[in-house]
Amino acid sequence: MNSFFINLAYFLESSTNYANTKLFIYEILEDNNSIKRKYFDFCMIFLILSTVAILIYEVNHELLPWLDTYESIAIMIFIIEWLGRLWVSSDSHKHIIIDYEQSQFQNQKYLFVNSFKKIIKEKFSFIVSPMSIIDLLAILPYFRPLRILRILLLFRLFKILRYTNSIQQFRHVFLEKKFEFLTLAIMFFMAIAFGSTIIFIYEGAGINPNIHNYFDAIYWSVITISTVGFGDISPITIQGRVATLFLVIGGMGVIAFSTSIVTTALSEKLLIIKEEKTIGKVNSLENFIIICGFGRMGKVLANEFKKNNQKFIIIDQKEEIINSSVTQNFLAIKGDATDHSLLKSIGIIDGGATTIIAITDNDAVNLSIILTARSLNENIHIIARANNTETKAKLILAGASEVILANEITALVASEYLGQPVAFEAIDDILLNSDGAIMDEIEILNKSNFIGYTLQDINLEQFNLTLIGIIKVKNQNEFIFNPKKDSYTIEEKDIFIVIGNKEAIAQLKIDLLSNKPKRVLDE
Amino acid sequence: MNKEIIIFSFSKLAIQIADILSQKGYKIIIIEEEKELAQEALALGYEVKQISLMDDKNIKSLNMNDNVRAFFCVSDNKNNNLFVTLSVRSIYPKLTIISVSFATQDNKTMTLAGANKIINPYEIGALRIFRSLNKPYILEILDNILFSESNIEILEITIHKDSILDGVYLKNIQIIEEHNLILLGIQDKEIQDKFIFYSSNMNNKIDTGDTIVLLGKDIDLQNFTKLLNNYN
Repeated sequence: MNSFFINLAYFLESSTNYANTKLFIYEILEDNNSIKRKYFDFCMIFLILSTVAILIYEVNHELLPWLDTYESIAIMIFIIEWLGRLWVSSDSHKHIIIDYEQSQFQNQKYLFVNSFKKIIKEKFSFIVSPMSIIDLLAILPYFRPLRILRILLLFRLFKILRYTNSIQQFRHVFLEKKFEFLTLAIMFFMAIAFGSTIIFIYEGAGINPNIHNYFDAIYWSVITISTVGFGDISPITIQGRVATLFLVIGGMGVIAFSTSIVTTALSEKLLIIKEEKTIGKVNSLENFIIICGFGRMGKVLANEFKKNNQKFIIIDQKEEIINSSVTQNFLAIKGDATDHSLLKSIGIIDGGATTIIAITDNDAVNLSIILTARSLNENIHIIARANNTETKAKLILAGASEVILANEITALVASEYLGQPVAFEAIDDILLNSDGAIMDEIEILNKSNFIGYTLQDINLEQFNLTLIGIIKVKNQNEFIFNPKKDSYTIEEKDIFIVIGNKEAIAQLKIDLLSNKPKRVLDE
Repeated sequence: MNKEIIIFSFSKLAIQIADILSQKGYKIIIIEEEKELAQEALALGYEVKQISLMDDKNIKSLNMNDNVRAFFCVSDNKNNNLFVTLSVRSIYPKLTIISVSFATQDNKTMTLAGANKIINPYEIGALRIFRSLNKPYILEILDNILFSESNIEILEITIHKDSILDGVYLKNIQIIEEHNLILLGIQDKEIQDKFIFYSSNMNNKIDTGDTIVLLGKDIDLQNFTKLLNNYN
């Protein structure tokens, strides 16, 4: 049973059709930058409004059969949409691969049930998310045994929230300005109480024929303070008219105050809400990288990480830079990366951050980031950019694990290009993965049937792979270049360095685990 | 022959390029208009010409023919780089021009201006960081092959007429394996100079003018080159 799921997971990992289909569905349902999603959202809003219109029509008309069919189709689409979201919410097969490779690495028995628990936990957290619950509540009343819950059909209107991000953000703004709105409400109620009491005292005792009780006085106050003024109740005494003047002026104040609260809240609090949301998202991540500085180098790096599904967060001090990174759907926080509390809040000590990359264009800032990060976490991997040659040694002294001097590497690249342009472009092609040929590492896991056999038994030719060499992890990472195929004996933890296309490499990884050596098969 | 490198503008990148290429035996000539920078270059021992390349007469006076291996256009000013690249290309159509670009979207503009190779320090630096995190073993091996003094090297060989490899199919070259070398691939003149990896399963015929790329230990590569030269 275990091996079935392991093979299935590796099959899904190597299948480009599976990856492309999932990406396509993700782009339609979840990718904010995708044009496909915009069209899809538009169609879904139309579908929701039309099914709600059917519900309204149904109140005093007999439902036409084609409308019933239309609703059934709409519900089917809602169900498919929800299942699609459930599918793309996580990569279940990756849990199996990671757990399996980890168990092999630690020489322990792999148990599928552990991966299964993680998969269920992830899927469950999607199912109980607020928008998923709204989706389900919009679907459930359609089914006959649950017809009693027809009022929940109104949840379809809430479903529209999913397609309009701005409404969700607006709700957050109101929550953030709770205090101001509470103050406003107290002022409003005090003014109402004051105005209605005055009018009731002076005109309530049969003086004004339209004010029969205290509720009429409250009604008049609310209509007046809101500057609506229906005119069905109007003051007839001088005291009542004076109270009206104060209420109208107060009403204008209330309107001005509420407008200013909303405007201030939108302009000031929105950024904070976004940052809090970003920190919340980062705290739920595992194995992510922190990029400090989103300049030209940071942008290239972020795009590479995105292409390879590596999770990361950007920290930069410039607001416009943060806004531009957010529009690209990157997680980003405006702040100072040398600030201890900021780095702590995004999990540099005990969170999921594995690496911090300091690539601002200022060497002093990069040095400060290194020292701050190293003082918080002794083990975190730190990569820093040096803009001047003489700074390189200082950055290493400060605690950087690796220092990149862009001009130096560029000069090396240029000199290599001058010497052997064809060879250099070939290597560049491999590294950029531009035309299908890639260079990859394949580790021999302890479960492999090929341990103890020679390279000839793998029959590398059938995979169209070029074996460059083998790293012997057991022998202090010794690199054996172009080993002899008939005499090299494969050992556990060997790392093969191969060149070939992605699918062939994935297939070889599967075969090294599940297939048998050529010699055994021949026998 | 072909040993001069001319570098336009003595920028930080130019300092690194001049340093590395002078160590490889090239003669470096710096073109720098600003007096202070020109003196700095002079102090480091480079030949300096304090002229402006905004003027075609000055570009022509450099006389960049067979004596020049490459022209580097690495000013910190993007517009100057574009202008100088275009001017140099219009005067010297066959010269190898290597120009710097600071943004990915500018790479194409620089190619249109006539550069043979674009170097973008931000792109190169970022990709290096990515590879060091993503595939550290591969990066180390490639660094050893390309940039350090390890005994494994990469070598490209252009096939001449009457070479023993002329007319041979890729999959039939036993001689490379016999020399303990790895054939990485071929740049085939017939397919618009496209580089074809040996692992791509295409069995191209090697013709005169094609370039093969080999990986191997330096001694094996030397023996193989000697063998080819003897036959020629």
